[in-house]
Amino acid sequence: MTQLLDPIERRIVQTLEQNRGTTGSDGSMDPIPGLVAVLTPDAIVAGQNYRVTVDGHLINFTAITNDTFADFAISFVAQLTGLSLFSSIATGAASITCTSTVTRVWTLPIRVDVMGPVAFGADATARSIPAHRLRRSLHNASLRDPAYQFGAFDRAYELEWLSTSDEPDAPTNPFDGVSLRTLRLSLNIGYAYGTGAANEVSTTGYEVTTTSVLHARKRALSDAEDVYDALGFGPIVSGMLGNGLSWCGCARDGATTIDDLGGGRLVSVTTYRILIEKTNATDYSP
Amino acid sequence: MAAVDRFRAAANYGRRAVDALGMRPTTVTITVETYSLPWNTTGATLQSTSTTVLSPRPKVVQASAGVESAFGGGATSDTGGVLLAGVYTIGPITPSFSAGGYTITQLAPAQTSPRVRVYVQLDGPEFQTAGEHCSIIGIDATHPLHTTMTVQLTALT
Repeated sequence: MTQLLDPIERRIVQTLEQNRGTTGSDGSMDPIPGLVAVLTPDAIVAGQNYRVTVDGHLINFTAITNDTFADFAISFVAQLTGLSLFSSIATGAASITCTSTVTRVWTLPIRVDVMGPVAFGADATARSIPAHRLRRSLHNASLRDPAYQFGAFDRAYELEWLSTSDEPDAPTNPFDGVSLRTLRLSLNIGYAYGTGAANEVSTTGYEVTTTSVLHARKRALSDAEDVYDALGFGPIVSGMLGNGLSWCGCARDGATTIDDLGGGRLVSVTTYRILIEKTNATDYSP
Repeated sequence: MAAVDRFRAAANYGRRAVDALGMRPTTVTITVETYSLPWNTTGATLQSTSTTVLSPRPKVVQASAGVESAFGGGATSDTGGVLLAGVYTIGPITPSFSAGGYTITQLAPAQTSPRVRVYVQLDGPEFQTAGEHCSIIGIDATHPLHTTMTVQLTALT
C-alpha cells in the first residue's frame, strides 16, 4: 500500500508504523521521528483540526479520539491514503510543547555545548550531547577567521544565522495572536587534524588524541549525527525558549558537509530549519 | 663558559642597554593558562596562570598589517577603520645562556592539552590600553645569538 504514496506520505506512514505501540521509558509513547512541528493546543480534542509539518510540508489532520497527550489517534494518514491504518498514535507532550525563559528571537540560545537530558528519560539521555564535548567559538567568531587560534579550534562550534521566513504555505496574519517563523541556521563545528595537532584535539569518551587527529572527518560526521539527534528531539530542546516563543521543531536542511580549510582545520557544516511560534504582541526589539 | 655563552652575554648586555635607554616601548609577556576543561568551554575555570615577562624588553615591530579578522585590534582599531589582526616580529631575543636569555620552550611553551592556553601579551603604545593577546605563529631559533618570534593578534579572553 505504501508504494502508492508519495515520499512524504510514505515517510509519515513509515514513521507512524515504527512508533506504533512503542512505549518510552517515561511512560509516554516515543515521539514520532519526522514529526517536526505540531501547533500545540492544550490537549488534543476529537473532531478538532490540527496541523503537522513533516519535512517542511504542512499537513492538516483531524483528531478522531482524544485523551490529552497520553494517547490520541489521528486520522490524517487515513485521509491521505484512503485507508484506516492506525488506531492510535501517541507522543509525549514534552516533545511538542515548548516553554522556557530567554528573551529575543534573535538570540535563540542553542547551546549544543550543554544540551543535557534534563528529565525526559532514557530516550532523551541517549540523544543528548554530553556536557563539555563542544565549546563555543572564540567570541562567537567564524571558525574560518584567518586569525582564529588553533588551540581553541577543535570541537568549537559556531552558529551562523542564515535566514528567517514565514512558514511555507502559511503567511502571517498580523492580527493573529501568534505566528510561525522558520529560521535557518548553519551549525559549524571545527576539527583539528594532523599529527602535530595531538595536543589541541579535544577528545571525549574512548577517543585517543593520537588516532583522533587521523580521523577528523569521521569525528566530524559522528558528532554531526549526534547533534542532529539531540536538536531534533523535542524533550531536549523544548526548554530553550521563552518570552512568547515556542520551539516547534528542528530539521536538517540538506546534508552535513565537510569543508577542509587547510592547515589542519576542517569544519563540518549542517544547516537546520527551526520552526518557532512567536507571540505577535511581544516586542522583540533589541 | 663556552664561547657562545660569552657572545650571548655580550649581546644581551647590549640589548639591555638599549632597553634602559627607553628604546623598547613594548612589554612582552608569555602566558600559559591552565583550565579545568578545554579552554573556552562553557564552565571551564582558570586553574593556574604562569607568566614570563621578557627582560630585557625585546624589539617589537609590525611585520605586516595582517589580515582582516574579527580578532583584529591594535590602536588603529579605535579609529573605526578596519579590524586587522596584525603580525608582529619580536626579537632579537637572547637565547639561553648561563646568566640569562630564554629557551625555546620558555618563549613558546607547548600547549600540552586542550585545557592549556598559550598566548603572548603585548603592552605598549601600538596596543590598546589593557594589552593585547597574540598567538605564536612562528619562531626562528636557528641563529646562535638571537631568537625571533612572530605573533599575530588573536582573541582576548
